[in-house]
Amino acid sequence: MESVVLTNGLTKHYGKTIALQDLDLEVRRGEIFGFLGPNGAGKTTTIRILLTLIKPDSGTAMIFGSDIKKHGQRIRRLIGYLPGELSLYDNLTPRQLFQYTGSLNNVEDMSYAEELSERLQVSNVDQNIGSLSQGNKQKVGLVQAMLHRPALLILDEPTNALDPLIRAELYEILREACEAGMTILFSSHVLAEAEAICNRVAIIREGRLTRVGTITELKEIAPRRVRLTFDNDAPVEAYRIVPDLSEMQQPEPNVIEIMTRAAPEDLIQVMAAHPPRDVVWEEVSLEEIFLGYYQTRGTYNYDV
Amino acid sequence: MMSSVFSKTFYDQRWSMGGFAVGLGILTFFILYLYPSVAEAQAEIMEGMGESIAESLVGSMALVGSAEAYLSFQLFSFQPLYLAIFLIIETSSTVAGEERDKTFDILLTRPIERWRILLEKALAIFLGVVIITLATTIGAVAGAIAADVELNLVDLALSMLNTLPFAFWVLCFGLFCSAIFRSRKTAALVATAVVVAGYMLNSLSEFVLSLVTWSQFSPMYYYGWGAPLLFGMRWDHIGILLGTGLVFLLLAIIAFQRREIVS
Repeated sequence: MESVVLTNGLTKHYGKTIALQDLDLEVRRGEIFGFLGPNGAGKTTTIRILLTLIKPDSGTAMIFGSDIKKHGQRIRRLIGYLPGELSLYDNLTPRQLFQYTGSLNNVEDMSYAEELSERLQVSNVDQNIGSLSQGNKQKVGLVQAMLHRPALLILDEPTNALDPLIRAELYEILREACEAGMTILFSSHVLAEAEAICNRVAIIREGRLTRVGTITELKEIAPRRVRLTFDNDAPVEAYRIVPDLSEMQQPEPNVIEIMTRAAPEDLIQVMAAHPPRDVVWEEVSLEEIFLGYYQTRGTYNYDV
Repeated sequence: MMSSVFSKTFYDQRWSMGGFAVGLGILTFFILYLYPSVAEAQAEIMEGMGESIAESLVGSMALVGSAEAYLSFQLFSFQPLYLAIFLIIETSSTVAGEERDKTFDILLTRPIERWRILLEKALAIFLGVVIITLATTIGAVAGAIAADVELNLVDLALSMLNTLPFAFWVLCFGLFCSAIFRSRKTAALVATAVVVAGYMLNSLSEFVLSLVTWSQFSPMYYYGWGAPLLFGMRWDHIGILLGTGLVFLLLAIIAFQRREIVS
C-alpha cells in the first residue's frame, strides 16, 4: 500500500531536551492512523515537522513521496490541519474564515464547507469567532481543516469540547472521507476514540516510537486478564506456573485474577489440573495497552 | 471579500487606520484653520521682541511668517511619529503577534510561501499609511480653504509624499523586529526605542553640534521634516531611506523564513 507519510530517523532537540529521536513512521493511503502518547511524548513535534512549521535536526520526512524540506508549499496544498491548541482569528466570522482559508487553498466552491458546517451544527456563522463557545470554535476549526478536501488530514485532539452527538457525526464524516480516499493522521489522548475509528495506531514515548500496529495486533500482544473463581480456596501456587504471567491478584479467597500473554491452550492445561468453577476472559482495552507501555511502577509494563 | 493575506491584513487594521486617518485629518484641518490667528499673534510677539531676538529664537522671520513654515513646524515635525506609532502597532502584530496568538498554525500550513505572506502584509500596512497620509492632506487642504490661507498644493503634496519613504523605513524595520523577536512586546519596544532615539538625536543635533555627525545615523535626519515645503525634495535622502528600508525588509524575510513556529 502506498505510503502517504514516511519518516526516517526524524530527530528534534529543544536545547538539551530530546523532543523526537530517530522516529520511523509510516502512514498508508486511505487509513485512519492514530498517534497516541501523553503530552511531551513528541506527537505535536512530529506533526509540526510534517507541516513544515519547524525543521528537524536530522532525518527525513516524505509526504506523498515529496521531501518536506524541498517541496513544502506543494505538500501543504495536500494537507488539512486542525491544531490541538486551536486558535482562530477571533475578529472574523466563521464564514469569513472559511472564505479566507478556502481562498488560500484556491477553493472557490464553498459547498463542502457549508455541508460540513451543517453536519457539525456550526451555529452563528456570521458571528465573530471570539464570541463563540469552545465547542463551536472546535467545529469551525474542523471545517477550515477539511473544506478543501485535503488528501492528508492531520487532526490533533479533534474531539476536544465536542458533545457526544457531534463526536459521533465527526467519526462518520471521517469514515466517509477515508472511503473517498482521504488519509487521516489522528493524534489523541482519548483512547476510546482511537479504538473506535483508527485502522492502525502508533504509541510514542519520550520521543521514540514504541509500537505500531492495528488495534487487533496490539491487543494480541497485550496480556489478557483472566478471572478464575473456585468452589474453595484458590490454588494460587498452582497457577504461578502459567507462562508469561505478569500479574496475579487474589481479591477474594476463592478468586484469582491473572494477567498473562500465555496462549489459551497453555492456560487450559493448568486449569485441567486445578479446575475453576468459572472463568472470565476479559478483552484488554486499548487504554490498558497504552498504559502498559507507559507504566513504570505499576502492575505490568510491556517490553519495548 | 477576504481572499488573500493582503486583504485580511488590510481588514484587520481598518479600525486603527481609520482612527489615525480621521484623527490626523482633523488635526491638520485645525492646524491650518487656526493659522491666521496664530500668525497674527506671532507677528505681534515678534514685533515686541525685535528682529534679532526673534531670529535667534525661531529662525528666519520670513519663513515663520509663512503658512508653509507654520505647517512644517506644527505638522511635519510630529507626523512621522504618529505614523511610526501606527506602523509599530501593525508590524509588531504581523509576525510576533500572530505567533503569540497561535494563528500561524492556521496560516502557515496553507500552500503559500512565507516571503509572500510577509510581503502581502507589508503592502497592506503601507497602503494603510498612504490612506492616512491622504486623509492628512485632505485635512490640510480643507483647513486652508476654510481659513482662506494660500498654500502651494504641489509643495504640500510633495511634503506629504516625503513622509512615505520614512514610513517605508519604519515599516521595514518594524517587520524586521517582528520577525526576529518572539515576543510582540519586545518587537514593539525595540522598534519604538530606535524611532524615538532617532527622533531625539536628530532634534538635539540642531542645538548640540557634537551630535550632528551622529544624527546621520537617524532615519529622521533623512526625513527632513517638512523640507519639500521649504527647500524642495532631497532625492538622495529618499534613496537612503528606501535603500536601508529594503535591507531591513530582506533581513525580515530571511528571519521569517528561518523562524520555527513552536507550539
